[in-house]
Amino acid sequence: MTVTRVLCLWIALALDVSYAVAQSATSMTIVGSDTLAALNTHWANAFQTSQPSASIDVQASGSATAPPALAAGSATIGAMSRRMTQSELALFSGNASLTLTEVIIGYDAIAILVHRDNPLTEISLEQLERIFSETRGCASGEPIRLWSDLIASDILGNRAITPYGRPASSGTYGFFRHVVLCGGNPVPWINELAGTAAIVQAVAQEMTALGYVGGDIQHSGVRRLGLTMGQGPAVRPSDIAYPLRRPLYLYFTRLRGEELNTMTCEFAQFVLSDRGQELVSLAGFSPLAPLTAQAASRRVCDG
Amino acid sequence: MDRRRFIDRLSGAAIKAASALVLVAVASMFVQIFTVAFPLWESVEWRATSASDQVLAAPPEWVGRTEDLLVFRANSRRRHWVAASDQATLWGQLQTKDAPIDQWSTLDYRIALPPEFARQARERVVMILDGLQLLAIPEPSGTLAVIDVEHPSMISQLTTSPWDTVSLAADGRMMIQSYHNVLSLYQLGVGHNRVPTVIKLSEHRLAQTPDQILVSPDGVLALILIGEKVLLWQLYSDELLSMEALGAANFLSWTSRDQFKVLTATGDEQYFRLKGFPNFDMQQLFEPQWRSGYSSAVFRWLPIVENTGDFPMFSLWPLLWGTLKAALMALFFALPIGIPTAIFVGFYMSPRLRDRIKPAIELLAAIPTVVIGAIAAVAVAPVFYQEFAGFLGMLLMIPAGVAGVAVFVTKRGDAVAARWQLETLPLKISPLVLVLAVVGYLMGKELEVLFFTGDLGRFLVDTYSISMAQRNTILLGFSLGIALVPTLFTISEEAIHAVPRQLAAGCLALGSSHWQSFRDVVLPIAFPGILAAVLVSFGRAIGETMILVMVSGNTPLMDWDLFSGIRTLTATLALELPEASRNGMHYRILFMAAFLLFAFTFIVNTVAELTRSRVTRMTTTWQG
Repeated sequence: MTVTRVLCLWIALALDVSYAVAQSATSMTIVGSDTLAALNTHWANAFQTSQPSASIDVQASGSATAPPALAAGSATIGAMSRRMTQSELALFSGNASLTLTEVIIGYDAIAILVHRDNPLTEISLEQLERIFSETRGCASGEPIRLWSDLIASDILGNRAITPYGRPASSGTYGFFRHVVLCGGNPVPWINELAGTAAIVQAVAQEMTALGYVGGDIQHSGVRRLGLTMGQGPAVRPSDIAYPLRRPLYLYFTRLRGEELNTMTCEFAQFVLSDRGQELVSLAGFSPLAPLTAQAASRRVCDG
Repeated sequence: MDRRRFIDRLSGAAIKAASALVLVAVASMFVQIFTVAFPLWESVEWRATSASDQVLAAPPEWVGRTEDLLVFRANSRRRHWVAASDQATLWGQLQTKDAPIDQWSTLDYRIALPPEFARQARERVVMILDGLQLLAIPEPSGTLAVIDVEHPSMISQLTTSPWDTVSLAADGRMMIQSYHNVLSLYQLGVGHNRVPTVIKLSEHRLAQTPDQILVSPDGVLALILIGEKVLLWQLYSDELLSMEALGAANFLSWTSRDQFKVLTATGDEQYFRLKGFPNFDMQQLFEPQWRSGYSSAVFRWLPIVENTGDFPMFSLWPLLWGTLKAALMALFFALPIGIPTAIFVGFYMSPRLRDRIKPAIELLAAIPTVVIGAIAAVAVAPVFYQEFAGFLGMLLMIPAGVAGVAVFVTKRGDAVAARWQLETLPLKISPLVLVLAVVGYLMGKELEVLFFTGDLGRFLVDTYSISMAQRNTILLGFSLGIALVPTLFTISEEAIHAVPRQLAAGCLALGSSHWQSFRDVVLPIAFPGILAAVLVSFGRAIGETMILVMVSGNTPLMDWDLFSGIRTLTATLALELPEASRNGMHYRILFMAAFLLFAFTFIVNTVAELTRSRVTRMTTTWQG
């Protein structure tokens, strides 16, 4: 009796799996970056309303999870907040059947955050390096540890700066270390918290905090600093000239020597369309320039 | 009857099977963790492969030669450096990118090299240190000139062995071949006030003069060709490995960071790929490491995502230190709360009241640690930071006040200290604790205004340069301590309560006081149990994760400062394991850390369990 039931269940499961495999032409899985999770879901929802037959599954567990999933064929689209490394690309160069299409879909500005009541409004890249780096790859000055070295203010006095950042596995950390620290070693007293939200929360409640985060920040307790370089005026994170902007990538797998399959191609074109790019800016990132997006959209499906 | 016996047997067998399963599960976890970490120690192997399939990344520095001049250039993201030198002069241009888009400011300079650097016709090698600000020029005589680009007149001279050839490895390391067959490894660094330093790390004497020395593109391995034999020098673990099986080699070249090409005497090309972890050794985990940019060898936990061209540092000491510091600080808060409560509930309290109070305290254990962590990080941390003086006041006032009441009650004599009152006294004075807390808080604030200019945090900064981080060891110890109290209480209370009542009653009948009978009769029997409680909670503090991830700040520091943060093994595993690339060196080192953690908690818990079983044995003997 029970045995029959279990058997029935297994058969049903097997049927379900084979059905899913058969349907894979219209179903897609997006795997990858945590930063891009919300945007991927918005895209998937908007795309499904225009293409009711499509089914899109979004899994967000970090950029590093995308390449293995793509190479194994368990996902068709990889979302990454950094570019694939040589060794990740090697997963595909050794693969006889699959190859990749890389598309930049927008930009993410890494914001420098301080507490809302902190009087500082702008900071230079060099000062950032002297605060965050121990071995200083580019800057030559002495290290900065106190707020009084940055700004004379009554509330901060000469308290120490409490730096906040992401752990080493995060793409934001890698970007910050290479661009701001010039590859130098970060000081060991940087507070590392697991997620963007945790850092924003911590900075909002600590007057002496100075943190960097990627992605969208909507919190009234923190303020984003402008960046100065040389003699020029401060650059805001929304400006094109903001130096801490990194491209965001989608990777599509396709069979070697062939074009993207129809549904994936339509999704890629949707992402680069006006509506798709509007969702990018709604999610707190900077969209591509319209001409760039159009040009990319024309090329994206070719083999 | 038979049926009942059958069921008895069946359940007995099931229990045995289940416990065997638990043992197997623990053992296999141990084995599993170990097998992931173990390949780190496997010896490096090489396998013949087909032609290169990886693209060789461009080296960070490029050196070229035109007629008599040596032209070199170096790039970083914000500096670009072009220079040329002949025998006596160095001139060049430093371009600094300060503006956002391609606006370079340039600095021309010309440095007359001192006469002792008059060169022979050998290749001049230049190392660039400290963000392209310092140029190091090794000379065959064994002098190393370090020139500060911004102050060209300042040339420091350091000494190395005189050499025949010199090659550069990664991260400020320099490999020197001297007296034909001696290879030595030097580390260049920049100390305080930008004073350059050079340290000799190791020396190897080879049997013959090598024909070719070749550093790998990422600068962590060197191939050495002697006659037709090839040696692999692992620069970070400092081991020389003889690669006999390669056959007769004539010329070597690297094709990627772990692949190299061998040209044999017969003119064949062969490709080999290295397997294993040539740059791992235990020294990296437990000894201070020399790295570029530091003035001394340091302990640092600085992992990196694989293949980004940086050099990770995997010192476990900061993590072990943080783990220990957190556990001791937690015990500092938990012991004075947990143990006296256990003594009171287990020895003084009437059984009826005990049955109500005990579950209430044990209910604390049901609070998930992530909740304690969240409350501590979000709600308590800012208040604790601002009201630190008030907190200190409470910390002093509560024990002092309670002790005062105790002294007062004792002085009043027998009437007040009678048994029925002792049983409930602490419950009666528990509202007093609240009052004491408020008084302590107000007193702390008052003292802050009187003696510390109204702001203790600022006073500490201005007077002693002690800066307090919000995520500090005191707050961490406090919140972790709260999580430990139920464990500490339950185990030690049970140990005390298990001591037969007749013994204490006998003492009382012979005229001793309650405290005397506790101290001289109950405590010696229950002591191993209390010790076990302390050990178990210590083990728990070592293994606790969520509170530490959220409250500790995860700063891998090694200091005695109670106002700074820490980073523990468990928090590191939680933060880094999910994104460490699978089966890479970082991943396996994390598993090794997990292995240490597992072994440590296993030992602590075993010792605790052994002491505890001793108590049970002793008490049953007494009862028997």
